[in-house]
Amino acid sequence: MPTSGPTIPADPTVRAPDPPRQDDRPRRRRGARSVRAREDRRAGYLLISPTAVIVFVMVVLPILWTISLAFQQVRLLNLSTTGFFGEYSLDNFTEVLTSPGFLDALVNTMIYSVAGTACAIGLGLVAALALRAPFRGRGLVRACMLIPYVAPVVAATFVWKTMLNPQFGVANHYGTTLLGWNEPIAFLSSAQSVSLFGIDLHVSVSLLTVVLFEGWRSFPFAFLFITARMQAIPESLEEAAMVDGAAPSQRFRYIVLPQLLPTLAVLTVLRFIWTFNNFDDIYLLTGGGSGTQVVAVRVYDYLINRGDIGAAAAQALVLAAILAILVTVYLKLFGRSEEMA
Amino acid sequence: MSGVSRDYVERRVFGVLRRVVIFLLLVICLFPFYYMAFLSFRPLDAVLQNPGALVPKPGEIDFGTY
Repeated sequence: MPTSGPTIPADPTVRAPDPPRQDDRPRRRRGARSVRAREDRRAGYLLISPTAVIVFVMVVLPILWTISLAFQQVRLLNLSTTGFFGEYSLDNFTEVLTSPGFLDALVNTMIYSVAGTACAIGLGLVAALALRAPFRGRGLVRACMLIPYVAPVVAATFVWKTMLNPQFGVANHYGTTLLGWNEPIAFLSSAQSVSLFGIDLHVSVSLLTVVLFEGWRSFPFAFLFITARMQAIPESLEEAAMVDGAAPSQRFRYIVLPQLLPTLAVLTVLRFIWTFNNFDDIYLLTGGGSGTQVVAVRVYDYLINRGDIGAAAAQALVLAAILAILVTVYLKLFGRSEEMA
Repeated sequence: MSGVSRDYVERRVFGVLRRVVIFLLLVICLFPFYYMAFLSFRPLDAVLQNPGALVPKPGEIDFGTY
């Protein structure tokens, strides 16, 4: 330490006056700057501390709490005596992972999120393309497209439940009278498997209905994103293609779609995450019965119906872990092409 | 020559499709909420007796639920 020249004290006011030496000056200047930088940094920490405290209390703490609960045997009965530190064990995870119906719930969740995302983005893309060219009243029509997304989920599920009711639903009434269905279809309570062209899809009627509902409810979100991106496409590109004799489908395939791909990729990730964690739609429509039980509904079931808080926390962690793995894989596979496009 | 005819055919097809799609989208977006409003005016037994009704009959409107 003494061999490295005069050291700079932390407090600048008590710094001893050094004899002015040629080689010392740059070091001292750097030291003065670091003192000021340290003060700046302190002010910065002070300014973000409220946010940091709020985030810690509202986000980090509940997550840590969930993790802690997932490793303890917590039920409603002994909740009041449970602390953050207790007897940790993996029993909840073995219970959750080996319980009957977990795999089915996982498969249902995958089908629901993949098909729901595809439905929502597909419908949104079709809507955005259809409403691309201006016409009178387009603004009004676009506003109408947003209704399913902004309507309260309870209202939307209630009206669809009523319309699809096998006894007095309007869908089954016209299905049996006009379309010649032999008997009313219990859209939301039938566990019967859907078959398409004689191939059994291993998807219950209810799950299909729930997927379509998800597509209906969230397509406006995709529609908004895609419409916004479409308006940023320079017109000259398409005009040039038109001059070269490109048909509408070719203009879409080679001009519009490549520019939409980054937006579609972001949309896919967002919608997939939200659909994967979705609980209220399915719970309100079917209550998780007849082949529509997804993992989020299972968490609720563990928590409320069985009062097994530890298992619910473990199930929620498993759900989060699976989602994290899936999103990581997706970003690894498509993240680079997204930047290039 | 074939390019021109493809362009013409696609323009016509997509022109018709566009109208159909807009109409269908409007139906799926508005009908459930129209039906919700409509149900709010109807007494329950009327719904059970005549589930297919889409427009209210003159004497049927009932503000009792409000």
